[in-house]
Amino acid sequence: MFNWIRKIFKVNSIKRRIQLAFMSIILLLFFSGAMSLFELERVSHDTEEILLASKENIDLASEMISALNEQNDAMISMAVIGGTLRDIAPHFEDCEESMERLRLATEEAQMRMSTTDNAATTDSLVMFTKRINEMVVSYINGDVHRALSKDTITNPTTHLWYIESYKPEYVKVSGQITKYMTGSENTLGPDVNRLSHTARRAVTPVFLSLVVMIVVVLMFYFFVNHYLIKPILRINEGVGDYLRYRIPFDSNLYCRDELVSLRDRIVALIQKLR
Amino acid sequence: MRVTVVIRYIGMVLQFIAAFMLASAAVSMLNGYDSAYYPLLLSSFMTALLGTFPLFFVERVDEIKTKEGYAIVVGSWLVACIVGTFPYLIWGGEFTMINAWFESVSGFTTTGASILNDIEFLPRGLLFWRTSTAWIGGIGVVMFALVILPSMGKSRHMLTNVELSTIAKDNFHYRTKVIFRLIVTIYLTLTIITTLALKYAGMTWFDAVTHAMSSCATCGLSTKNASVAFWDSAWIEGIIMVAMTLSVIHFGILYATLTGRKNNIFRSEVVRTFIVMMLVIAVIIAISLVAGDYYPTFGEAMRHAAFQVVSITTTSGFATADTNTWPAVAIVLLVMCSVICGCAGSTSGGMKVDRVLIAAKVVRNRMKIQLHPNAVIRTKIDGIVQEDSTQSLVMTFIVSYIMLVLIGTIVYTLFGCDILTGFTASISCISNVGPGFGEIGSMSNFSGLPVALKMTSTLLMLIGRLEIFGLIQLLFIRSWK
Repeated sequence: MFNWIRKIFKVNSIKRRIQLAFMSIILLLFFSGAMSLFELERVSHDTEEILLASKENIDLASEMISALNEQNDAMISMAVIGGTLRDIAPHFEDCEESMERLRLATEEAQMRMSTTDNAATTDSLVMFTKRINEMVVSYINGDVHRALSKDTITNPTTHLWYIESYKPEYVKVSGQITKYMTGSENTLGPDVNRLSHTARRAVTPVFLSLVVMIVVVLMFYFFVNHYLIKPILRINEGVGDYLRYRIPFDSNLYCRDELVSLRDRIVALIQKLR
Repeated sequence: MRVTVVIRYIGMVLQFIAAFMLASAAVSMLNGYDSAYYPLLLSSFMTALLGTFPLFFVERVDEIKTKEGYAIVVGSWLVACIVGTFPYLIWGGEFTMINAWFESVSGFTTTGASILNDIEFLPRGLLFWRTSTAWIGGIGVVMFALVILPSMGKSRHMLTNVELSTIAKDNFHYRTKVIFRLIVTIYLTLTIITTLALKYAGMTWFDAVTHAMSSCATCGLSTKNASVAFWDSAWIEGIIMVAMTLSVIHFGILYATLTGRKNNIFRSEVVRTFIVMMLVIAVIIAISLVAGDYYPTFGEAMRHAAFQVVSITTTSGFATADTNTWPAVAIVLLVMCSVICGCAGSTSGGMKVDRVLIAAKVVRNRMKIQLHPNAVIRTKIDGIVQEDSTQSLVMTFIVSYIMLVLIGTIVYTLFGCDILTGFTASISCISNVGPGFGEIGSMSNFSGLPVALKMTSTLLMLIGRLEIFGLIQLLFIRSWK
């Protein structure tokens, strides 16, 4: 049943031995290379995921900041600078648009962070956003509609409202956005750890393969020296001694390959010459 | 010494180790290709290649010289421990270079000490490999490999010199060829029966197989952080106790018992001493536990005391209780168990009951001779007269053991360990027990020790496993005659 295994290990030919030795080295190279490629592929995939997640977080935060700033600009124009209804009409639209953008961005952030440690930060962000938006809506519904009859919407009360009511809320929301930005980057920590683990797994097989390869190459050198080079030198020396000093040719070999056959033929040739 | 022959036979051992790595990869595969699959597969390939390469060049030999035998056995243990680190290193996690080496040596020497803080985090494939190292180590890497390989001829006998202690060899009254088959048959049968019994007692198949392997190798590696205490089942503890006890009885005597021969368990003085010693110690510990209000009833105290005594004496190291908190008398008795351990010719480490028995009789006879100077008193074990050379070897071994324990303790305390931790760690490593007391108690591990002490521990484990002289003699191999 296991004859074919026995045949593999019963190597009586120099050529076959060398072939098998090189095949082993090639196989080792191939496997360690394949393993490293596989692990590197995972490293690449993980890195891409982390970078993508990081980019999306930054984009979201940027969108929030931009929307909040637009809203703030509009509120300054309406509540602080003021003017006629015709003057504030474009800001009115900007304000509504920025509110919608801010709402969408914060809800998207809340959805993305719902399963992470950063969920509390995004929940607070959504709450603060809702509050500031409601404040702005109430301002528009109240003061702007009142102003429609007077043709102007700014007065000392709206100044005060901006400084005492809107500004603190604005600071809270922008602070929460900053918190979200740093927090979302921190949530990538486990991914980075996984990346570092995968990177180590990609490097270790190569390192171990190199060690094994060095051992195999050293063994190869030792065996070639022991089973090929030394016997050839001994046969050569034996034949030389016979030709020069007629010392009987005797070469004790510890292998069973072509070198033994060469030695036997030399012995036969010497006997024939005699 | 023919280096090529040594390399060839070490290569054969590596092939067996590669086969076990492959089996562990198969476990990984069955577990849905867990994270240990590729590390085990690649390790298996590298180990198989290392083992097969010499076979392309070195041809079979029929005669192996003493020097070569020693070099093969000791070399095999060392190389097995090195390649055993491959799956751990590739997998990563808690396994740094030193930790992987520690875990591998601990497995192959059947010590069962660990550096892992969270064992249950390991994938099943790696857990199986961890237990496999213990199982291979239990029977002796070389001996196990050579039984299956049919090409050794006369060379087999030489290789047993290091694996089996001198006393163990004396007890074998069978032909060398039979010894190998006998050991493997008993080992396999014990493992299979224990697996089935554990499964029946409520473990899963995976836990049953791994704990059976670990029990029969008297290693004590578990798949749970809480060890056997995880199940809190008297049945499981009982089965493991029986498996551990049988595994540290001379395999030849076990075989004789099974085949109905005269020199069986019931007639063996050594086995009798071993069993009585364990019983007496367990009862004393149980009484001290009840007296100290550690357990409410004697039955419960006896259950934990008996398990810990059997676990420590058999050099397994499974745990069902935190022995660190037990009274001083219990700790001293358990340390004594760690020193004496099981019988020769088994998977046990330590000083062994056989040697202690001979030493005790030598001391008794010396006292008798002082009273009756002209008397001729012989030291006998099971009615067989022990030669002076054997007695001298036993005393030399005991002295060497004590000296090593003291040197080990000095090294541990030098690196900041307290005296209890240092002394028990030293004993635990040389006797291949696993847990000690203090920082390395039954419910803790070696992870907190500095790198130098982890390396010292592995050296002590290897020295202990190779019966002290096996490893030391290799250093003087060039001067052998």
